[in-house]
Amino acid sequence: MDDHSVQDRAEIVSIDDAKVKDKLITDIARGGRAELEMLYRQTSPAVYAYALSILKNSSAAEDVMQDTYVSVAQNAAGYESQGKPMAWIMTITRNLAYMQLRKSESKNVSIEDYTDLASQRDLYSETDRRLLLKTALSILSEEERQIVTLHGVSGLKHREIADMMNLPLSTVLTKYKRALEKMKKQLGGVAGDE
Amino acid sequence: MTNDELESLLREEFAAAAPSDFEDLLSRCHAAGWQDTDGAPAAPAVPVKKIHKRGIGRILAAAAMFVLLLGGGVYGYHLTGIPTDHIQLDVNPSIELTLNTFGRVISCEPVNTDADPIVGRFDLQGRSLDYAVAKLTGAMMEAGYITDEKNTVLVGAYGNRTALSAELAEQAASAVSDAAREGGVKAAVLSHYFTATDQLSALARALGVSQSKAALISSFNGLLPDYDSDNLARLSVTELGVLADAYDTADNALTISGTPYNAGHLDADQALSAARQALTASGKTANDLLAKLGVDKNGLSYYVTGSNGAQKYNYLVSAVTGRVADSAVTVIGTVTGNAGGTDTPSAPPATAKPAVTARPAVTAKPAATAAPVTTPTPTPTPTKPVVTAPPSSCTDLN
Repeated sequence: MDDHSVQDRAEIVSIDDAKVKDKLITDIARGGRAELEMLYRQTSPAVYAYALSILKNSSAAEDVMQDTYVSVAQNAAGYESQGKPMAWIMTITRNLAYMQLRKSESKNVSIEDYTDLASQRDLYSETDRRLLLKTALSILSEEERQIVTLHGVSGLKHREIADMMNLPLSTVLTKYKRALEKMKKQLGGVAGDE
Repeated sequence: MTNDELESLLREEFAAAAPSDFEDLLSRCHAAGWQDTDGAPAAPAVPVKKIHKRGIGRILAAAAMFVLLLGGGVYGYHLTGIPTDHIQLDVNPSIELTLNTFGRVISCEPVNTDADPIVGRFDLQGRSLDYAVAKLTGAMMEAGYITDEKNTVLVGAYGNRTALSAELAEQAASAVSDAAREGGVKAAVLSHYFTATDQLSALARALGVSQSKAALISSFNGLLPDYDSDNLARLSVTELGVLADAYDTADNALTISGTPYNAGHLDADQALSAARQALTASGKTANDLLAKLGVDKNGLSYYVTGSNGAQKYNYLVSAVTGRVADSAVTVIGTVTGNAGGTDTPSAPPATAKPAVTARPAVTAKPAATAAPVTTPTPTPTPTKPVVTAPPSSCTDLN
């Protein structure tokens, strides 16, 4: 199968997938509990990953993930399908995550504080994994992490990511490509080490 | 490794790593007002995208997971164990939830023995505040601690930041109300935030109550006719709610939602009636009677005062039984110290809401202080404090 046909098939799957999610959201607006659960099971890993890419804390990301679906349920009646249900859900996630970040900052506990504190307390032993972690953190920028998550995990198109993050499409493409290269290089290095 | 393989790996790892708690989500949705259609037919089959694992070694997967879990999750992990805020729930069981900086429950501890079986039912560690409060409220309802007659819950919050404590108190109060509503009880919630000082902690220990309840009790100091923290500590939270509802307490952070159940107690008019009957029985008359809700060793009571121009009468009427528990008379204009009574008003306590006091229709008095018995509707102006003399220091009427 050549690249072109793979891309066509991916488009078809993506369109079908969007239709299915559109239908689920419509049914959630009518009180569909089973539909809410189905949407949750299908999309929560992507929502969680995106929230985590912003918040960098698993507990906070989990909270935002749950709140995202509460908001989805509350606002499903007003959802206007434009064939981009995941973009809609991810926008909700993004808003909630940044709200959560502001809340954390208002409590004077920033993400940077966590990192510094963790480093100072030397929580982890000097393992290859730790080195990988530290290196990876220094390699991927916040925007790169978000883009990788939104495309690689959530399945959003680069155009949708560009709209959501208010970035030029070319920037998104470049950052995505660069981030993957960095990761592959890092992972390859570790695999080689072990 | 190709880009497709890397993306596939990411999806797979996040699918495995993402937490999933649909029941928690559902309770949050219900709390937020979303209604699902019970008994709705199952949704049509929807194709679920399958993610196939590629031939990537476990080490690579784990490493990628750590990369994409962004380290912060790991770095921040230890902070999730640092307590930053505390929520205390008081019904009769008293429970304290300790939260981390993300509002997640670190611990849930019973403050009294009644709370032991309630707390023991759940493992709430890592749960959200809403979830934990909903579960605990539900359990206390099941155990009969929260009913239509015992409908009041005290929510107290304290921590390092006042604004956040206020926010958490409101959030927890809302969760209590929602959970009670779901259980069919119209709960009243007293919510407040306070600063945990050594003094408050000592008072709480001395009274055998939570710090939240001790802080509420303290707020009545200088306000009630006969403030006694031990007497207040013996009151149920619903009775404290009745008191708090009747007074503008010194606790400015106190918010009351709903109405504490008060049907089991006398109202001010009934207390006045009981005092008037006692006066008549002893051949006395009074031009003026005022009733003020307070607490004595037997529980909620009304302190009723009146005078005939020459003498001043004091009656203590139990708000629980309606019985006149004590009475005394003092001679106006004669300051005789402890044994004789006085006409010197004590220092005005803080303002009480008008509904607490009432005045018989027969007495013409400036309308600013209270509504007449025949029209018990409260006036908007605060009631002037009632002058009371301790009954024990005066001549017994009976």
